[in-house]
Amino acid sequence: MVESPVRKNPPPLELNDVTFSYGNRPVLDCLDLVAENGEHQLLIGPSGSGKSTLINLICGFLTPDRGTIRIAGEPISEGSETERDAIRRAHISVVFQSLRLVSALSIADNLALAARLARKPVARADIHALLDELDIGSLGAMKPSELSQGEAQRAAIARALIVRPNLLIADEPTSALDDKNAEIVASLLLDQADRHGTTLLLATHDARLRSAFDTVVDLNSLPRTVTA
Amino acid sequence: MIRLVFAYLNERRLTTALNVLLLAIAVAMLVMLLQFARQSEARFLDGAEGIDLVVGAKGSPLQLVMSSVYHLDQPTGNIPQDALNDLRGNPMVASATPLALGDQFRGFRIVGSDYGLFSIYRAELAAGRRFDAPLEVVLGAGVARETGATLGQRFVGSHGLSAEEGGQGHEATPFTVTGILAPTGKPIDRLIVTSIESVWDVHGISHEDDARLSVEHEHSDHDEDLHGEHEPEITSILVSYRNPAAAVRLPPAVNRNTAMQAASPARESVRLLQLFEPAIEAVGFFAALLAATAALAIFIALWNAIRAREGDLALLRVMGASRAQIFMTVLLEGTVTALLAGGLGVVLAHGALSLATRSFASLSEAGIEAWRLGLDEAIIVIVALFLGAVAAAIPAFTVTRKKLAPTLSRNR
Repeated sequence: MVESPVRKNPPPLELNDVTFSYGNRPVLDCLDLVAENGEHQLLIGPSGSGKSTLINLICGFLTPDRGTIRIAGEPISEGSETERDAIRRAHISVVFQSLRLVSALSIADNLALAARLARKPVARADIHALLDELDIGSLGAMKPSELSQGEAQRAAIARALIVRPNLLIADEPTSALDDKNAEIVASLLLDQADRHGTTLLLATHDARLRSAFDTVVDLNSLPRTVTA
Repeated sequence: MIRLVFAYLNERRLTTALNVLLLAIAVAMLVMLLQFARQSEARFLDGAEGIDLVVGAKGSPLQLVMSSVYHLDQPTGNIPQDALNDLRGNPMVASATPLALGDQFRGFRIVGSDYGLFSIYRAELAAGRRFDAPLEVVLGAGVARETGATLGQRFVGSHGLSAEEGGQGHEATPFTVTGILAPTGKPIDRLIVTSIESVWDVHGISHEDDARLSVEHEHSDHDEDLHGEHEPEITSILVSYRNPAAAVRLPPAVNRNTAMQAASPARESVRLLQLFEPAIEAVGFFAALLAATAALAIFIALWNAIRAREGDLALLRVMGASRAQIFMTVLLEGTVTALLAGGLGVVLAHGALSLATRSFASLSEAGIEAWRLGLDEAIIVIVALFLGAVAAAIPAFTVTRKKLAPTLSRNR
């Protein structure tokens, strides 16, 4: 038996032969997928194509029936829930379509809490600098309910980026937005991922975003092995 | 996470405030009940210390003890002065201290007695000297504090034993304050003590002056129209035994062989406390029921809150919070609610007691101190905390058992 060589800088995301089904309904079959450092991948497919399931698997909320998922070399598809929590906490941030921020806290406090939960403490000044970078510097003291959709999505991106993740996952981040805001948010995600050297995996059914990404994974015509 | 807990409490501040208030009322009731029971019990036990027996006119033994030891009730009547000498000559009696009641000043009883009363209550002078000449008085610490009376001040006593009675004043025979006692925490704090002879003088009762206290007096101005010619009498006698055998032999001897009655303060105090017991238990039960209702309200509020913020809690998990942290967040919400209620309840209880003692003279006369904190109160607050934690534990446990993937699917 030949062991695979150990990589010094393992990719932020690596799926090997991942299979998952809900009961008798197969959702993913023998999926291989690798996202390298700083890469931007678009995961596209209509509702029910398995995007959310794949994100749940990558985040460790679900475990595959077969195969392994590694985040920065650490197997999130195995081990206890505590171990999976630790891998997610260390490497992954997620931006959702509508589940953006903790409603009771101000925007700045949301960012501070995210950093504390990820055990990556940040100074208040860094929080405000990031909010400024996303053009919502004046909204730090406001509650999520006081923001517009576009502002709230920017704040959610800030919340995700404040922990300096290896892998930033965006799940339908533009679905609730109009064309203009969708474009702004997509550009912002790409720009921020570039600026922070973060690998971006964006799952959407929105075909408008295809052209902006290095790699497009179409879950409708899923090849067995996808690499950048 | 603490900040998050307070943010959640603040987010539904009206519900939080109502839950805090509900549990605080239960805590306040329990604290007040405890304070009342403890302070009454302590006062009754302390107040009777050093008094083994009270001898007075026949009637209710409880009334005799209440009027002569705790100064809270009307006396049963008067007894002949000779009874004092008889008791003092009894070999079973270590000391016999007379009491003569009948007048008051601003609701504080003027008690004719001798220096033995100071010994019984272990009362020391804080200022001035003891009474010596007729119509000289020593004020209890509480009387001095509440009336503002000072040494050398003169005042006129009124007939009756409480301010409400508003009897005729004895303007012709004003008293002079010669001493003020240090606080004792006993009934003497609320008494104005003078000699027996002074009480007789005020009421125009002629008597053979004691050698030490002999003073010539004109009684022409005295309110004899009220009292007429009377033999010198006293109200009661406080007795302490020379030996334990007296407890068995003296009371029956007094009750059988004289026209007087002998009452044991220890026995009557226990009887009185037993009379209160059902009421205290009933109020305690009601307060416990209220506390349980408050716990249920906290449970319902938290249950609804976690359902409403299912997405928030899932997001916290995505952000890296462990199940234990989510559990603690919900548990802390219940516990902080209960802690606020506990603190508010204690303040409410003492505030209400303070208001009550100012509004109802009977409570202040009973020696209820509004702001005396007890260790038992900490136990009530701890029980409230426990209730809050238990009320929060079920929603907290439920939310941590939820599977994250379906929750996220519903909320993303």
